[in-house]
Amino acid sequence: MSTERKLSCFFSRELFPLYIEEQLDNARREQVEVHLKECQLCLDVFERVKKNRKILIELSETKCSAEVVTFLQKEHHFWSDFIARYGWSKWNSNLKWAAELCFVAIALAATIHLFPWLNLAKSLQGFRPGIPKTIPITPPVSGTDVEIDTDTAGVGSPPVALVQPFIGPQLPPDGKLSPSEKLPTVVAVVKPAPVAGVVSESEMGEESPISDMAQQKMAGFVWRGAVQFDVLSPEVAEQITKSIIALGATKAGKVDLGWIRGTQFYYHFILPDENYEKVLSVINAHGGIVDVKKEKHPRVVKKGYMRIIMTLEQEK
Amino acid sequence: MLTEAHYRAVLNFFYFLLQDEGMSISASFKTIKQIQKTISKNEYLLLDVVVIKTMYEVLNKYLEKHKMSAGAPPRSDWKSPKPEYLIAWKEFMRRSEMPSSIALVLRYILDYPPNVIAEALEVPIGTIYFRLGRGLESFDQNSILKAMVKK
Repeated sequence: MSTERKLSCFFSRELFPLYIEEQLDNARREQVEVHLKECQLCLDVFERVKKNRKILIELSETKCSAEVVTFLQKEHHFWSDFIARYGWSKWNSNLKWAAELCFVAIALAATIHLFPWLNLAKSLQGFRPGIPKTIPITPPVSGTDVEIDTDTAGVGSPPVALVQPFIGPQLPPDGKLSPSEKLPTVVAVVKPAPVAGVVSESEMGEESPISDMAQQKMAGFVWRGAVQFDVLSPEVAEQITKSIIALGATKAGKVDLGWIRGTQFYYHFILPDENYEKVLSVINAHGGIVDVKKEKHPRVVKKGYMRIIMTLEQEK
Repeated sequence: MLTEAHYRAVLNFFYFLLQDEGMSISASFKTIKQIQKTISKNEYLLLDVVVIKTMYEVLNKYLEKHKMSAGAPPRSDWKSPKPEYLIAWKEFMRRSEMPSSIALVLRYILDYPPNVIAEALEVPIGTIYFRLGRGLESFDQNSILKAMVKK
């Protein structure tokens, strides 16, 4: 009689894989074999296990395609993979069109906004051949904003144009421009007719606020100021006017000398230099205190003459 | 250094256990990268152990994240001489425990030695045999395979 313990069904079934793979020692192997001879149920299970093992080993023949293996074997980098997956060639045609359109629009916008067109235009203007730097304005066109300094003309100086001549490209002889040439728009300013009884600053001969360009072009001077009187009457003003005219003063503005502006008497005139002291003495004789300052002025008077703008007013 | 056999083993491991080709390739890709990284850091590790360990880790992550597909038919990337066995395997996967399935795949489909599997999964070798026995017993518990086995 064998002294070996018999295996239970549960334990013998646990040993089946080891038995099949011949991993059991001889004693265990014999025990399993004895149990299989005695137990039909375990024998059936053993047969199934063997067949199942065979099926699984046959499943190991399942193979993946070579493309997938190659894909895994290949070295992968993020950007190269990204481009391969989402690159330009993978886009559909509509998306490509939209992208191209966006690119062109952005390039155009950048060119328009960032390119120094103004500098280019200025530099091109300087290189235009056959463009005169100044345009003589003789005679003045009536009704336009061209003014002639008639006062200096009256003392022998040539007329000076107050407006800057337009320096720009000239039209070709046939009067047509090529599409690339675009002329700046020039708007002719026409002064409105003066309303009766109302005199504007410019009509008085006083300059309205001067533009930057006019500031740069200021070449002449004006003596501007006020004369204070304790008591100022129209008679006194009339006497002063007569004295000034007698000393060689000529009207420079558009209003007459001694023009009444509110409570003031307004004078804008050209005077020979040597008579300036005499004019001061006349004013002082009537009790006036002259306070004038020399300022720059766009209009130039002939050498030996001076421009004066002054107001006679009663001291407050 | 990884050989083509390793790549194929990784692919098959995920193919049989994830039951989805896309996920299998993706998981294989991650596994291969991870294996290469591990090997580059320590050249003295046993390659098979590293491979199984990494596959097991990635598999667990995938199982946590994704649900198993319900027996989708095999696609063209994987070819089997017995497609009906693949169907039987899918049936088995639907009702089996994952540890047994892993042990079966590693031992019989990928042909790793039990001691290597035990080392990689960090379980006693007896546990591996126990799982194999349970797996082999329950593998044919469906009508399709029973019919096949009887033949």
